[in-house]
Amino acid sequence: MTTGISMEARVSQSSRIAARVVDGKAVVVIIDTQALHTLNEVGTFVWELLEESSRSVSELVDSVEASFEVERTRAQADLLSFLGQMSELGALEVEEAA
Amino acid sequence: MNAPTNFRARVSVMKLLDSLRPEPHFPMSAMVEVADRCNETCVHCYQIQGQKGELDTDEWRTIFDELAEMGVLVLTISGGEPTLRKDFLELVAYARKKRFAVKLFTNGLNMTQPVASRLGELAVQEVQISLYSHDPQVHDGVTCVPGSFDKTIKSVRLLRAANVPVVLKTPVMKLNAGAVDEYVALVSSLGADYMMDSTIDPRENGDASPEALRVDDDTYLETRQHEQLASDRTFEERPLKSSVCGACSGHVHIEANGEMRPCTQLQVPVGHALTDGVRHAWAHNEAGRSIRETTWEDLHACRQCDLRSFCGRCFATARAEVGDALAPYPSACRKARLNYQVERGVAPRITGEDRGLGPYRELAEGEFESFAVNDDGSRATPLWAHPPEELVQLRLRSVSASPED
Repeated sequence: MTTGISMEARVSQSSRIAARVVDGKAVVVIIDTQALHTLNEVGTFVWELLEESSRSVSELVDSVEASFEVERTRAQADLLSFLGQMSELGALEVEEAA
Repeated sequence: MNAPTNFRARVSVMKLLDSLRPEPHFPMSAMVEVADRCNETCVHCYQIQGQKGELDTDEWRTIFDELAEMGVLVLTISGGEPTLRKDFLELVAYARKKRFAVKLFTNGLNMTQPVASRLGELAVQEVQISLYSHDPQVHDGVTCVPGSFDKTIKSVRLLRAANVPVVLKTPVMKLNAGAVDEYVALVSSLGADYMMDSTIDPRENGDASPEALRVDDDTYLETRQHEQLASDRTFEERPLKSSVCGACSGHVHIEANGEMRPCTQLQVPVGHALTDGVRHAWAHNEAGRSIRETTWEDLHACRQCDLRSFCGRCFATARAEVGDALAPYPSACRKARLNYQVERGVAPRITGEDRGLGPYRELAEGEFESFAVNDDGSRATPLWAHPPEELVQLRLRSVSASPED
């Protein structure tokens, strides 16, 4: 999946969501669509990394690679796909470097 | 917190959350009644304002912090009228900072364009506003505030212009029954959604006078069967091991002074959000645990009732009507029979003496008898199930003073 998101892009949680991690899974409500999504273990890991501040995509890839038994190329592809989906849903904001 | 008596069910985030609870009673929602005052004096309101006191901004922040840590996701900010607090927007902003899905209950009288815009910026999930009729005179008659209809309608327009979802809600009572089409047309023209409910509860001090506003059977049936209000909710089997209602189960309720209650209606202390801590009180308060663990099996008569699936009984109303939260009570039994009629298309036939009170035993399809239950060995009635003596006395005085329903 091509997301058009670069490794330098900075990712943050949207301000128009409500969210909680319950029983190890992030539950995310997109306020504008009233949709509710639950994330799996890896998605929740990434979500929690974005709790306090924005991160670059490459920082997120580093963290996923370090915390899960996964090759970097696979981690990068999966992460870009996840970020693209979450951005499209309105849960994440992605800002490309100027 | 009554079960299925509403006339219109909305599929909402709350419904979806039910499937996400890691254990059955896990609190994923909370209501905080931040204001102990109101600028309307609605004739049917169950609340008594100005007697509890209010926590300050920092105290509410502490409570919001703990609710978030507990995993509560949906936070309803209510009152009284929450917009009367000077720190109202500050509280909403803090709740959003803590990533709650915020619902706001208001009458709209204080709404201004800047406040509506700010609520839109803060991405409040929903604002629920009480609108009692499409007719200004009827609405103002209920609120006892001349001009309140116009202000409420204006508030809806301001909020919708700020892209804030609005739900207009009304209890259906003798004063405003009928004219559903006109009500829905008005609400739709405003770009809002709507909810109606037939529940009218006694006041929290035991005063039964609001009960005189309850609609009669014909109006109840007519409203429930109205095509604009017919819900897709069907009555479900009620296993004996299942909870009777949401009191102390899955939902935290906190009064303006920090006292915790099982729900908006049941006046049983179940801890204090600050002095006990919400988490500690939720887990350890004896009355709270008892209420949470009460199932249909513990209801000494209702557990044997074959109309149980059609019943929307409430501990608080039972306590008020018959002095025992676990007992059958006339208004619930009456409504269960009406709900059966709505669902099955025919009124249940009652064979033998009709006491107007369950439990009911089904003798043949659609044919029931009511019967008395002797002590059947169920657990002893807990202390919380009986109202304090002062509430009993207040109720007795108000019942004798009220006109016939």
